[in-house]
Amino acid sequence: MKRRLAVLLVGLVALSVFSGCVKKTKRIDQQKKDLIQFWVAENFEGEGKQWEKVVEKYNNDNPDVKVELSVKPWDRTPLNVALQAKKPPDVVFHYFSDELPADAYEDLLDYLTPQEKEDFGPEIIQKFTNSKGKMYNWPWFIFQTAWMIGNGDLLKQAGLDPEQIQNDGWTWENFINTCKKTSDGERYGYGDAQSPETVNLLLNGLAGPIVSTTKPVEFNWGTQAALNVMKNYRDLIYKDKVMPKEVLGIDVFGLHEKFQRKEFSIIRSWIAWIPDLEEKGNISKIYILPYPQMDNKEVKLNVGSGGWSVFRQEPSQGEAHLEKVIAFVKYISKPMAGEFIPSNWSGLPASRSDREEFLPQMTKDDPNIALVAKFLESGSMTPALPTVAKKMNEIVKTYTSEAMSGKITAKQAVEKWSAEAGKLLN
Amino acid sequence: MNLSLRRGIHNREAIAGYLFVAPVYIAFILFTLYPLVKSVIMSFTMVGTEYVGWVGLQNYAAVFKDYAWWPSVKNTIIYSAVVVPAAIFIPFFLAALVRLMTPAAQTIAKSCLYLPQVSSGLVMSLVWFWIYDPFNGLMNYLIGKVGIPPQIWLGDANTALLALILMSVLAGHGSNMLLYLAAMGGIPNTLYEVARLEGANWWQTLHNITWPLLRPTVLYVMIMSIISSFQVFTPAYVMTRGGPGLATSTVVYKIFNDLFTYFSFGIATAEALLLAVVIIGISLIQFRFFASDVEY
Repeated sequence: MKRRLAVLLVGLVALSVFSGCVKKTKRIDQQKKDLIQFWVAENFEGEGKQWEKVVEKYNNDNPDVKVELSVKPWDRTPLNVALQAKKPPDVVFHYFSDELPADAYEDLLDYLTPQEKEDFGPEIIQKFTNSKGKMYNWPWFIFQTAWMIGNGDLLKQAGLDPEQIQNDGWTWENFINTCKKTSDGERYGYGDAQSPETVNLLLNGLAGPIVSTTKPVEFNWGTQAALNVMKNYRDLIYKDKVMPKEVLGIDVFGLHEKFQRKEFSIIRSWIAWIPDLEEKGNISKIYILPYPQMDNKEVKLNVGSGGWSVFRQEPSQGEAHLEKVIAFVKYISKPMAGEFIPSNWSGLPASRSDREEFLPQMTKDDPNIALVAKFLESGSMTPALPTVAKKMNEIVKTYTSEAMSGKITAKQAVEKWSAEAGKLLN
Repeated sequence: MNLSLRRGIHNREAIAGYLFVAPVYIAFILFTLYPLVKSVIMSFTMVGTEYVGWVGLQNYAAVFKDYAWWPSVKNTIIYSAVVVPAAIFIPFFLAALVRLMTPAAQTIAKSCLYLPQVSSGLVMSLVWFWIYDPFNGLMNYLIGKVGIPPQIWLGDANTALLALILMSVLAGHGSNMLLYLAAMGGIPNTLYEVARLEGANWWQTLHNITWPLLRPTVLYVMIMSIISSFQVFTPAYVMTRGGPGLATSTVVYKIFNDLFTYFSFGIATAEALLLAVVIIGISLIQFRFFASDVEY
């Protein structure tokens, strides 16, 4: 009896262990349609529902295809696990760079028509092409989502015109004065729970990319311009006193709550949260504010971009299947029925012709979109940087954080990060 | 029963025994041993996400040169140096106090003191994140009552690590307390009676009888506390992301970052192995110096 029980137990364990090792078959569902596995991560609440409608329409319009939508958490782990298990989805919203092995992706360059190539432009094509010449992302949108956002009601109460600031821009001194005017005993002028990221953005915009994009690779953030950025931002707490040091001890969602309670007039956040903040804070209008100029220099924003990756399947599903996947990718990359999902975070279509067609509609009633569009058109794509730049960015953010917390001065921060960057380059 | 029959029965029972433990061994091999061996191989053969073949000690050298490694090691050691003694002594005194209570009161006390253990580290970290809120948090409210000015806690490099340590020290000692209580129950009452007759007070009894006789339990608690404190991760990840700067970066947080943020498989596995070697080394030293006269 004992032995039978033991054999049964071992058999069950073995079955469960080896059940994953099944022979991989073609992805065709029971109705003989080509199955396309499609993963998205929600950038705002309700995005999943919008994708459900898109997928439903596509499935109805393309009876030979069945797109299976999965809304995944904003976490790379499911994708990593799927790749390790050699069962990746066909299409995924892919915000990685070329960190994953090059052979994980299908090369999309062959599917780019000459018209599309011209529409996207060489900068975007180059951005989505890895060092081995493989195009690993199909362009979907361009964006810059991290901005200063201001409570329009409080700004106007203080006699300020946020739309004028949007149109004319402002200097660093104007920005500080605005913060002082909108603050009182119970309200702070400015808050930023992600200072290292903001300083990083300003450094990119005012001192150039962290390293040179051509050889010999040089570190660019040991300059006076970089020191001015670090010093000015740190002074918001310690000299100008428009930002409380306490804000370093909360996260961005804690800052949102305080913004909703009108304890801050201007914060640095992501613009995808604007509708939510307006509703919960009972704010009639939140304005996206341009980054203030420093030393008479405008902050030249890096334009981010997002796209879709098509992962290589094992075994291969065949060229016909891949063409259907690409067709789906091209479909979801364009505005659909007058809607463009990334517009929720002020993303614009990556294709120039789509932008020209869609932008007037987007900017019609919303000065925020007009501001973002203006900066995106004048900005430049975040350049492809050597791998060492990622480590350098980490180092800069580390010392920025120490400087903002008061542990070191701005000068010490710049000296330390320059020293570490020098070691990496040597 | 003749010898061959007895041997046959023994063999059948032995086979049954092996089959019963087989699932555990299979699970151990698949989910512990294999990943361990693979990690060792990865630390010597991977750069980034690519297998590049034998790279020798390149990844290990890179670890030691990394600007964030030594601060992470330092933070981990400081954290352990405070949390481990707290994990040894606080539950001991709690257990000693609980033993003085009536049985009914003991039940309530044990339940209350064990309750925090039921919460996950993530939930505890989130709650303490609110407690440490520099604007409206409970901690600043409490210290304000005794005249201490409000602190930034998690946003200040000077207080962030202290904040995490304080959380760990106060968070819960329920399971260690229960271990001590169980061990105290095994000490013969005659010893305490003799001590009472000799005029020993509560502290003298605790110090000269209870503590020495709990040595095996203390050794176990010490080893387990060191192992868990050296692997501290959740508070650093949830509450501070290792910051401000590197003020709360721990070794395991650094491993996580290198693996899942920077996809440096070779470096992350090298760091993990270094940590494993250190923990094993400390455990062996503990056994060597503190377990010599421990009997189980």
